[in-house]
Amino acid sequence: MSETTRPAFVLRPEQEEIARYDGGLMRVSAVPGSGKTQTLAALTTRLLKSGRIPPEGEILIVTFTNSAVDNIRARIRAMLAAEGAIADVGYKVLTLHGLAYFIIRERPDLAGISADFAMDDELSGRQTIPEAARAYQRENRDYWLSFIPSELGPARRDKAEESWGDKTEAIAREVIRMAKNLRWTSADLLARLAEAGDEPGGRSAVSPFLRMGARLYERYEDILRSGGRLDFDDLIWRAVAALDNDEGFRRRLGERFCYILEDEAQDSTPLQEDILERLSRERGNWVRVGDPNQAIMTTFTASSVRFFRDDFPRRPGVRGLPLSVSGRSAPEIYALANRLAVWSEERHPEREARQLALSAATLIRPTDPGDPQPNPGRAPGGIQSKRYADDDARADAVARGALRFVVEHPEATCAILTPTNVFGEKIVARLEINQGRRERPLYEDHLRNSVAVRNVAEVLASGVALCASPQQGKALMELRRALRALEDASARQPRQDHVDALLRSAWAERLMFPSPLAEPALPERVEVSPAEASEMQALAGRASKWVRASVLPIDQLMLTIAHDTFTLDADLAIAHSLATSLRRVAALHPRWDLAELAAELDNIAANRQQFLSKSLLETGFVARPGIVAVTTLHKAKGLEWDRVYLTCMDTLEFPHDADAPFRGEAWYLGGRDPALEARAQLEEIATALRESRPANMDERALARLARLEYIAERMRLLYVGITRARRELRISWSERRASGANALALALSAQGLESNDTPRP
Amino acid sequence: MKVYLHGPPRSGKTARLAAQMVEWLNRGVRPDHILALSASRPQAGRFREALGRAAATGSTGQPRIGTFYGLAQQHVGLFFPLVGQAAGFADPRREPAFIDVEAAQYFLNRIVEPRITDFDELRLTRPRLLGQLLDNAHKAALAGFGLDEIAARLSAAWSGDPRRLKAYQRAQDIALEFRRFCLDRGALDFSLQHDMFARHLLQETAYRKFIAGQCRYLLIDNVEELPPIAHDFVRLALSGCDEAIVVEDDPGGFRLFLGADPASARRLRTVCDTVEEAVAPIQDRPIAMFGRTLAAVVAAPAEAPSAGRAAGSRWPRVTLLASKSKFWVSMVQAAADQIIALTGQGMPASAIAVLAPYVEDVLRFELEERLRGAGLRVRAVRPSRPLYDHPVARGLVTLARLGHPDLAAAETRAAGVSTHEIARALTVALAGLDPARAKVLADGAQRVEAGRLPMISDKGVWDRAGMRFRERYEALSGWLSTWRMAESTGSTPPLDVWWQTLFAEILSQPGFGLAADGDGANVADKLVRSARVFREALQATGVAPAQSIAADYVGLLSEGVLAAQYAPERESETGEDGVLLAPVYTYLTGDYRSQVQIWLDVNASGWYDRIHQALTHPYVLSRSWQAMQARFEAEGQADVAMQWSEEDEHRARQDMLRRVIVGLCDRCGDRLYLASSQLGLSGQEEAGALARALQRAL
Repeated sequence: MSETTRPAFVLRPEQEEIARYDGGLMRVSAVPGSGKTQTLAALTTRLLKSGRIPPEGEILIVTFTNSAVDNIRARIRAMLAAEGAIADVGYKVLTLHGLAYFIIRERPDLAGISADFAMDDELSGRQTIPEAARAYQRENRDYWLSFIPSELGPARRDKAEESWGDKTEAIAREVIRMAKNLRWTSADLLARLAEAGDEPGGRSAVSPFLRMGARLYERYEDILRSGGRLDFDDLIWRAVAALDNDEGFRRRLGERFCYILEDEAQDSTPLQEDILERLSRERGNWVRVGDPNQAIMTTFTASSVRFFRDDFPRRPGVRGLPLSVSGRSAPEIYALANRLAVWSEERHPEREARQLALSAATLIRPTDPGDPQPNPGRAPGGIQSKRYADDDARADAVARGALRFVVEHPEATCAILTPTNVFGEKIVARLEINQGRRERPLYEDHLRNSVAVRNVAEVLASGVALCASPQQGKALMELRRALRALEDASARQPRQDHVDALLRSAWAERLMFPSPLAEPALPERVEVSPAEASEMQALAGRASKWVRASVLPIDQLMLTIAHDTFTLDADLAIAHSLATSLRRVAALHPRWDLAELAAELDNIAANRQQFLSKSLLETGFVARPGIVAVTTLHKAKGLEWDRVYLTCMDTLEFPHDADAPFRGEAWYLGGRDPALEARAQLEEIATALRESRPANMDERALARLARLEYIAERMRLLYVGITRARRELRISWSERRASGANALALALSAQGLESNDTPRP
Repeated sequence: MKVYLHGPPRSGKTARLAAQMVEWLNRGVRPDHILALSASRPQAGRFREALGRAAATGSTGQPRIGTFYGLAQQHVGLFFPLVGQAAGFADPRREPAFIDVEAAQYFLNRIVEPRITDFDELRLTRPRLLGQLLDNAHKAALAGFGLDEIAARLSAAWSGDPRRLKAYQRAQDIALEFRRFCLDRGALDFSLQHDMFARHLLQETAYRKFIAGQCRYLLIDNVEELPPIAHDFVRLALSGCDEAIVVEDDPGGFRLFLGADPASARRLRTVCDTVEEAVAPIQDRPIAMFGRTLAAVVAAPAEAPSAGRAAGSRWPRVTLLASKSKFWVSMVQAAADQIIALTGQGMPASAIAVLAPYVEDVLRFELEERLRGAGLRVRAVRPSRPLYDHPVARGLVTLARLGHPDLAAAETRAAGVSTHEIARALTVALAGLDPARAKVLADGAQRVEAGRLPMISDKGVWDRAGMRFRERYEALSGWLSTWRMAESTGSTPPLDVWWQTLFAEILSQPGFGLAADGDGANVADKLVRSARVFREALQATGVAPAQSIAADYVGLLSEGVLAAQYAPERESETGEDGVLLAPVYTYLTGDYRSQVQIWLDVNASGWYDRIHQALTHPYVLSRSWQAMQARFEAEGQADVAMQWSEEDEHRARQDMLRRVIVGLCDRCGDRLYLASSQLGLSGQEEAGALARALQRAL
């Protein structure tokens, strides 16, 4: 992944073919590790040099995360600089949200908002859906409770109510996102439901969960509206509206963005396609690059993956090219990934899932001899699969195995990937116990928040807390601890030392703001070495600037602290995101003081609140040799390690039978998954409307479709997990889990990975 | 002789106006026959200086020197009985109450409150919504058309989602309802004053005769910064006067968003006897020449990007700063380093201006931090910053919540004043008190009595906070508690009077926070005036009981509803020493000049963006737009032309950017530095139109 591993301009033949693109619609199916970013950068450079970009024109590159933006931009810069060209002219790299911001900032009047609009994000918006759900439950208490069987005893009933509350929020999340991607307001949605569901005799065929979702959406809209706020989907929707509200504006942007290169296109949402379709209408130059087998990021995977895989090439004149050569993995590993794809497409027991899950159209091919980034060699026993009696035994064995590996191979990288945070935390607990007392920890917990996010949040939290209580020596001490943890870049808290004790007993005001009387800052008879004194003085000098800066708005205060502290671009990028988010939180709670805002940051530092949780790559993660990284399968996307542990590879996490029980289904609802059903039905109503046919409102068929889509999504997640490994893969599962008896996922057992053996050739 | 004089800055136009006044006075013209108008109050000061230079002023009064807005307000008040009825006042014999923007926003808020859902299609914060609704009324008044035309104009220009048309209609309905409220209650807000002035007073024969008799000699500066109804007035005055000079700064029109209309100004040329151009040779002014080149590049069709020459090879006095640095802070550092180097070479700090499209608090802070070590001060001029954002204003509000009887009573019912707020107020009140010792004191106070500022006897607190603050703290504490006692006696002073007393008796005294802080005293003064006008407006219109006025005011101020964003008449904060730090438009409208300019954030799109608002439109609601439409209609293409197209937008922005560039460069005497960073303050990469033009010009 690093820029130094390969010269910037050596392209493989497939990459070369893509970089020769000069216009029109093109779809690139890129397998994991095939040099997608490099190819996009090369393509951009070629276009810039070709003279095809008019003076006011730009190539627009849209990608998924801010870190991908930085990565692509850095490569383009490097390539252009290597050729002596101006590095910053003629292209723009943005995330989808960045693009929406850009459009709205050009013409907020067309978008119908003021330029300083308030935003809901992962942090500031975390209460909005729960709030909407509570409002709905309050207003419809009896109806809402009627879903829980009346015969339950009090204890079971409480449990069911609690779970039903969570499910209600899940319904809201699914329906709201889906409706927004259709660009339907709650009023639109209710009207469409009335049309779709009207049956003779006044019965409605609309699922009660979807109806509930529409009402939840209504409450949600009320909350956002009363605060003058937008969420991320609104932002993109408003950008689409701005383009629709002025044809001349759309045309000007369409002419400006004369080429559109879309990265990670398999995770694109309908709203993203709405924007890019409008921008590409002028010139018709749109390149979509993605891997349909790795679509795991959005709720709309099914429809979007289909669009990327099938619809886009069906347009007239679309060229489809593969990026199939990958030097990432050893032969056994890419062979397993390929076998999985073929099995999924040809032999999956659910026939309908064959179309939805993995595609075998582009299989992974090894590099040619002489490739600067060749595949690792064959390793005997590279893939191993192991069955355990239960989760505890498995967590312990996995932790021990991973620790042994990094101790024996300090030069190698290693990760433990889990489908859920809950099991990940079990593993972390075992790692902590098994590593014993070591100076430096052998593992990093990147489950809820990455180590970098926690470290940055902790420095900012302690900096802001100091501004809230500048008279406390303890606040100075906490700040020092956070700064030391950052320097150490480890997950472990630095041990208390003498300076900590000195700071705790110090009069902070005398340290930071010495008076003309020069009163001593420490109690008498305390011994201080010159080194300690100068360390404290330096810290106090830095801190006093921040305390003086505490009159600034919270985001500006945080940026002041950040720029005085962080040297890594990735840390600064996290600090910027945190500052923006805290500004939104402060706008939502105008009476909060610095202590309360610091507490918000502390929630992130202490893993009580997730931040930048989409992907680990987003937080600037770089795999460190000799350290076990623990994270989720979802967050591992885009990363690679020498050895990868895939945990919980069982039929509960990766189901294959649409009629078997699924995780997440509610026992008190007869095994239904309300959110999934609501989403499937809404999708069907929208599709029917688009295709001018009556919607198939058969509840059983929709529930089945929902399950098939879930099966497919989990297949892709499995594929992502396997392709994270460079040399070795360790697969594990338990016979017994809390939810019952269990077996190895069929997708794996069908490849011959039963237990304790490598796959049959 | 009536002269229309136009030309760039530094071409001697204002000097000529001043000299003309001196000449008239020396010649024996009756001073009260002279009317001299400027675009802003500080600029009117130039006429006052000239007056001082006149050898002898005649016996009859003084020349009238001021701004158009001041004159309009004065004349509407003077002639109210003549036009009050025609304007529709319910009781034209009752003396009207002039209300300011804050009070207008307060009244408007009451009207909007029950109809807030009318604007569901839009997502605007309350202060923005109120601002835009009021803006429509202001724009209509300054362009001279009725409120009932607003929706039709905006609708004709809109080509998108039809739901927006309903919002326009509702915006107009609210403007009309607000107007009815003012007429019923005898309140004269900014829009009604100017509507009366233009549509009633200017038509009255008696008034026209009065002007013909009074304004025999006319001097108008910066006519391009005035709104069309001011041009109507000037036209009337020109028709009857003996001699006149009307000066247009070109390029100008920087107050476009406050109603300025340069095209309308130019139409005055036809009623002058002669049009003269003031020439400023620019060959020896390299920055002015650079400005013209850059402006030409903005307008010229683009060429393909080429490998740029090193900056400065063609323009030795134009230098790029920090262009390779990634982060915003490094750019500020580079600017500070440059300032320190320049002052080290003998350049006075006051000759240097740091300019940016927006000046955030953190920019001021970081610049001050970096310059303090070199003994340099920063003089920040940011008139459009909401008052409540200033720590002094917040501190005064906190002190009022602690001590003003009406507010203190409300506080005990509500959440109360926090320790944090008390600490901040103490840093404002007691000179030299740092935030850490302030927190020690605030904590100590809270331990004695929560939500108050009681006497503190705990010696430990004073050991830490410093005995030197004790006497002053106790003076403040005693003062506040005396007032709080007044609650029981029922003799509650209005908030503005209370603040004035606090300032006079405590805060301005030696050792207190505002004794040596000119800026802070200025903020306090503004706050007092704002509160007073608000109170008078509420009392005059009788909409709120006296006891709730202070709480209403503080509540709206802290919610940002009284943001005081729109104020055509503003005074610059003066003070001569220190590096000037100002937003670009403030610099231009304030007509500042500097030897050295440092432009920050040249990559930012803010250089090119106008403020786009969903419910109002500076061009569509202007008189020039009306004139243009009339022409199109005559040519039979009304439907197409009425729409505000992307092309119109693009042209308008380019035009404004060109004017800004030339306007700035003409005001720069010696050297120009262009500073940028890859990422802006918010961490986003930007490449605005100015950056693109610079790439081609350098």
